[in-house]
Amino acid sequence: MKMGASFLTFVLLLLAFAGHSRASLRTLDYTFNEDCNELCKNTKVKLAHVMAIGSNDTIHYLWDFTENPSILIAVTSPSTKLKVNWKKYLARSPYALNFTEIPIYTLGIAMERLFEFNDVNDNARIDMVNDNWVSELNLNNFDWHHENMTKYDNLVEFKTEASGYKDNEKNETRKGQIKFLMHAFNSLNHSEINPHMLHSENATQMDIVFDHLETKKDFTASRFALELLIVSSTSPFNATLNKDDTRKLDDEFTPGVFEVIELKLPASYINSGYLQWSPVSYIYPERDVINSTSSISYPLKNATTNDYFNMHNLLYMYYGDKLWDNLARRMNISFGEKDDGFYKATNYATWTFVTGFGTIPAERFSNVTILIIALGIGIPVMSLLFAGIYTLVRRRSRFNHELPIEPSILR
Amino acid sequence: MEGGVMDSPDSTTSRSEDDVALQGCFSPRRPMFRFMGLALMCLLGFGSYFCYDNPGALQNNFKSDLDMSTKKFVLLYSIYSWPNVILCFIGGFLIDAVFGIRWGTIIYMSLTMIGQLMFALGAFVDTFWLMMLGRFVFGIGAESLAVAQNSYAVLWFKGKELNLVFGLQLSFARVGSTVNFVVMDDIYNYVSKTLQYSGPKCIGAVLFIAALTCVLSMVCALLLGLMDSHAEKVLRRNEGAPPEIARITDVKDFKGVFWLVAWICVAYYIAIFPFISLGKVYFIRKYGFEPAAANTVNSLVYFISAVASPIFGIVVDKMGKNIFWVVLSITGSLIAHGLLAFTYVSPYVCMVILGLSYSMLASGLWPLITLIIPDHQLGTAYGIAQALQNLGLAVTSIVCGIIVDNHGYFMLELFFLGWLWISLITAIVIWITDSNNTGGYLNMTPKQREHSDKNPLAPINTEREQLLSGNAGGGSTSDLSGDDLLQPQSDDRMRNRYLTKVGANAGSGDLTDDEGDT
Repeated sequence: MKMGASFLTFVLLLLAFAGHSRASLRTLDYTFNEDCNELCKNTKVKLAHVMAIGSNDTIHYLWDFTENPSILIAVTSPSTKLKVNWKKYLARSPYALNFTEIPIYTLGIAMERLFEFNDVNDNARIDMVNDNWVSELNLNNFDWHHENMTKYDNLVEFKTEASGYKDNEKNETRKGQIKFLMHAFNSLNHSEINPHMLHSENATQMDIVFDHLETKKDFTASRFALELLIVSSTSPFNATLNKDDTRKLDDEFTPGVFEVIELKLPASYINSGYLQWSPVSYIYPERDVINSTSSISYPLKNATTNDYFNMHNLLYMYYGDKLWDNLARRMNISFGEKDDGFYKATNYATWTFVTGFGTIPAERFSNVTILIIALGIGIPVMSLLFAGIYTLVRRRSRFNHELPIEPSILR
Repeated sequence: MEGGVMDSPDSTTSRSEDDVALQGCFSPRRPMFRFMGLALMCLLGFGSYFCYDNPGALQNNFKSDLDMSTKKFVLLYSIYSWPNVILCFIGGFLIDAVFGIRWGTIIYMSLTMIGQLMFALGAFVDTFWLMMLGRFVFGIGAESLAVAQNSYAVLWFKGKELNLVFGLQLSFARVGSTVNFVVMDDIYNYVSKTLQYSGPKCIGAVLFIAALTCVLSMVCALLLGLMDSHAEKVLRRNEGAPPEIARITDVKDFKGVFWLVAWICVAYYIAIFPFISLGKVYFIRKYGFEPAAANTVNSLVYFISAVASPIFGIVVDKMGKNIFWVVLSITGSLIAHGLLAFTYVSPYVCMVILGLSYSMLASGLWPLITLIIPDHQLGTAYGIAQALQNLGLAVTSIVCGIIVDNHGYFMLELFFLGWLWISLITAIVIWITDSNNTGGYLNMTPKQREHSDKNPLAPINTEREQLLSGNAGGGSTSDLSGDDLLQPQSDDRMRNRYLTKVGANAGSGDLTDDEGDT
């Protein structure tokens, strides 16, 4: 009994140890088109702003869906406020946003381009198709809609949707939509949306769904791909970037996915940001193992001003020309893998990534796993112990039985 | 393998030396005769194992030619496995009680063949319900046939090369399904391109061709029946003593140890078959293998077992100690699954360990039943073991799918590890209770068993040897467990123990004499 109790304590201790989450919660607050009032009416401006207020600092998340979907993360002192010059903002001119104090760190991610490529040889790689088979969709040609921002216990949510694609120049229209689901978190946890990425309280997540987005008529093997512009307010010189492909043992939170790809900006600093995603793309709204394919990421490229750089994107509006003094890189990511039947198989593809500030939280076994392992080791050990004790007791009593004279001698 | 005398355990000992049949070259006493029988026993199962995986080998063709959804396709396998949760128990019992081994085999083989023909016809005329009915009949036949195959092996080889025979049967089963996967594509191409069949007719024709393997097995069943009947007459098996009749109520008198063995049959195989059916994707996902390589790793277990099962069979034939091998192989499987779950050690290593353990287990575990259950109830016993195993597999293969979808492969590995733990504990319990109740009969070497069979007091002698071995220094019997401490106290035991105690003090001279000629 005693042993049972001590074993139970052991398990409980393990659970307590495993179940501890970081105490430093942040308080979440949000605004949408903050103080813009009349100016923003009847415009397509969509600027969501979430403040994750901690004891030592505040993290500002800006989600802009006005032109290129973009994220700007700014780590500031607790009292720092965001100032938006709405006139400039509506004009999409540089330095339209600033903070009352210079941020400790900023990280910007913009979806610069959306591609459709005709993967005739089924390599699932955009860098292996002929240029003629790559077509670009201008994100400005979508109609953008949004729902009201919502605050839950541990996150703030913002949904937008791009639909009704219409390219007047090429006289091209497309049905279907791209859905964006933004989350900002206040604690360490796994996201509720598969692939259930682990996020800290210093992170935001973007989930993208290409939902029945019509493909080009003359493309028989379409897949979609994105190009991201990533800007980290660290010196571009001597900065090394690591894109790590780490394999883990436990796929409990993301069934069937053992890989996590991490991009640290830059690799050596602690006070910097990161991007993290699982190389998975779901092909049905029911995000199961069988309904999944891969997302493929490509090597990072140096980013420069070039013909397709959109000066109207949020990052340029914040950094202005100083953007190029920071660490700036571009990265492509495509959705789908060999033999998955291309996008047309289900007309559905997803991508989810987490981006944040600080160290990447370490994945840990879940409480259930620990309990199972503890029981798995505990029960046999316990039964061995009991068997041992039983044997000892038996031996004792047998010893006594064998020499019945003994007690009488004692008497 | 010396001697080459085929005497089944219940054969009468009186034989007239001048019996002509015993002198001829077709004498059941010659090794040739037994090994011809062995070949037939192996080929007996070939047809059913070959045809079982026909749909699997032609999965894509089935779906396109018959316009079949994955759900419908899976049903072709479910209708095979679910009824057998009960039916192969009945099948085994019917061999014991009604048909006898020869007719039982022929009847089940006929069912297998008829089922396959119905299945083929159903495909040919594109009638799904007929295909399902065909698979159902095929399933009843094939699973009970496996029980019959076991019974034949026991009847002919018990006390001889039984484990080798079990091993060979197992590897032949693997060969059957492997050959199926290799040749079916070619057959399909031949039928569709050269013979110009297409659509349902093509699938039907291919399945009819596959049914030829069942015809071959049917011929084997008939030949084997003739040989067995010949052997029975010549060796006068079952003469003298009235044959014991199996009753369905015998089941309740089966020893507890049998149920524990059956429980291992359930628990252990959960960690093998459902794992292999999900393995390919696991290797792709976790280790980033290409599909072809993943397939290779995944089928390693079967390839290894095809080679290793007969070898381990010989080892167990020579050495006995079945429970030791069972414990060892479960431990091996635990290590293999542990490596798969908690490390990135090459899956080739893990699967080789798993394959060896799996083969070793089969050689150690299944023959245990022959040591526990009287011969005339063996059909029933094997039927029960197989039925329970089918039940376990049918239920867990659904559970495994749910686990993977909701909790991932890591959890699935923990699930398998859990079942292996359970079977390990069960094996240890068998080891302990067996050395308590029979003095470790199940874990004896063949010679010790022979000795014990002749002399029911033998267990006590061996026990005494162990007790004495400490100071008398002679004849230690086996790797022992020290379980003797848990054994019930009989008078003899007490005396022995008392003697040891005395012996330790008063010299061991008398005792060694006592021991006699062990």
